[in-house]
Amino acid sequence: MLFKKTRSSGLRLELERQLPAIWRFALSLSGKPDLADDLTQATCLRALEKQHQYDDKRPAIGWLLTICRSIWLNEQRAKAIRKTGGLYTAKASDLVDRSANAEMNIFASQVYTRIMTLPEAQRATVELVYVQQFTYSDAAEILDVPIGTVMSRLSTARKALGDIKDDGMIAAKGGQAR
Amino acid sequence: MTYSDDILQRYLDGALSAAQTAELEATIADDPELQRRLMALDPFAESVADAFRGVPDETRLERLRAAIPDEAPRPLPWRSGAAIAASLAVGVMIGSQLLPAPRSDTADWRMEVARYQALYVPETVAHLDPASPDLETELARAARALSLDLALPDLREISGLQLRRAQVLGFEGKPLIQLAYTDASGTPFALCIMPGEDRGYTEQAEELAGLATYSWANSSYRFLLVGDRDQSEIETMARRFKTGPLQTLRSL
Repeated sequence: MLFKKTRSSGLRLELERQLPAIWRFALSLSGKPDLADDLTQATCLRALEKQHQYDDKRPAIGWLLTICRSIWLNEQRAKAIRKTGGLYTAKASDLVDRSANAEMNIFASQVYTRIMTLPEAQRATVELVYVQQFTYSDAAEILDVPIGTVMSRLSTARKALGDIKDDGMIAAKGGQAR
Repeated sequence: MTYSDDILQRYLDGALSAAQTAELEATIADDPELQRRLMALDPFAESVADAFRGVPDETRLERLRAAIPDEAPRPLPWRSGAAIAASLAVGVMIGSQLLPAPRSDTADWRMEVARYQALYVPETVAHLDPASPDLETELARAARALSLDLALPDLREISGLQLRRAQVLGFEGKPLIQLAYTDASGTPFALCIMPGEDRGYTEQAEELAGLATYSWANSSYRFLLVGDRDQSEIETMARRFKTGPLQTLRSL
């Protein structure tokens, strides 16, 4: 017997709980929903294989996202680029697959699209800090970069997002556009 | 050093001088409280978080949830990422036999080779003339490094592949020979050979670094064929090497 089943149930539950977070991070790395699906699935499998590393007394999310990033960089990124000829060229219409979410207002949609068109490194950093609300230090650890890099990526992203903030003030005052 | 909200706000707006910015960024690394304050003031945090609320949607989430296996996985004919992840740690199904996971050193050399090969594009090898006398010299050099006779005519052209170059590389102090091939369309492939005993792992078909690989070993050498092809095609090609020129290798 190569693997014991005894501890997998706890990790499996944790994976279910963290699936949205893993998928969002996978999306921020890959930029495409179908690639994010593959990456999320590979992350879950790898985590289960490495469950001896799993400590249920500590938050698993950092560990899971580190696995996710490592699979992306080592195994899937090169292939995705070869297949698609680059990852930053996706059209906004490919990215905004939001039909199932009628609650989404136009402003949020715009922000989403704008984030998704940032370069991969900024996108992943923004996702960890703004969406998952990791501290700069934790984001730096997951991304395996110095904290200064996290800060400067955010700063560059803020510049790129600058005008959407102003647009957003107007959109927010106008209420939800449905 | 303490910072007022006003200073932090100006940092977030990109309005501090380069020197002030550098100082703040240096301070913040060791100051979780300052990180928390800065994050709370960040004008984009809330709208970006809002934009990702409900992503992924429930349908996708349900599908992903259903795909988590109940226990540590075995290789399944799933989508690529899943298949790689599964085969890496569990070993590979050959016939109906589940082989033990390969030792990490064998896994490592295969991954290293695949990562290197992933950087190859048709232009890397297109200019290399298969009829060049250089290739003869390179093969002789590679043969010496391995103490193996590589002057085999059918190593030059096999299974639709044309030999373009032989390079002596190294892995953990051992020679690693890379024979670079192209197919008719110019797609690069590599056959790699390095010394090392069999250690019970015989054959492995595995996707590594986004490329299809097929590896095997005899009592003294390990072999790996890698390229951007379907896994099954790589396997067919590898078998031609294995049962052809590489079956009866002679020592130098």
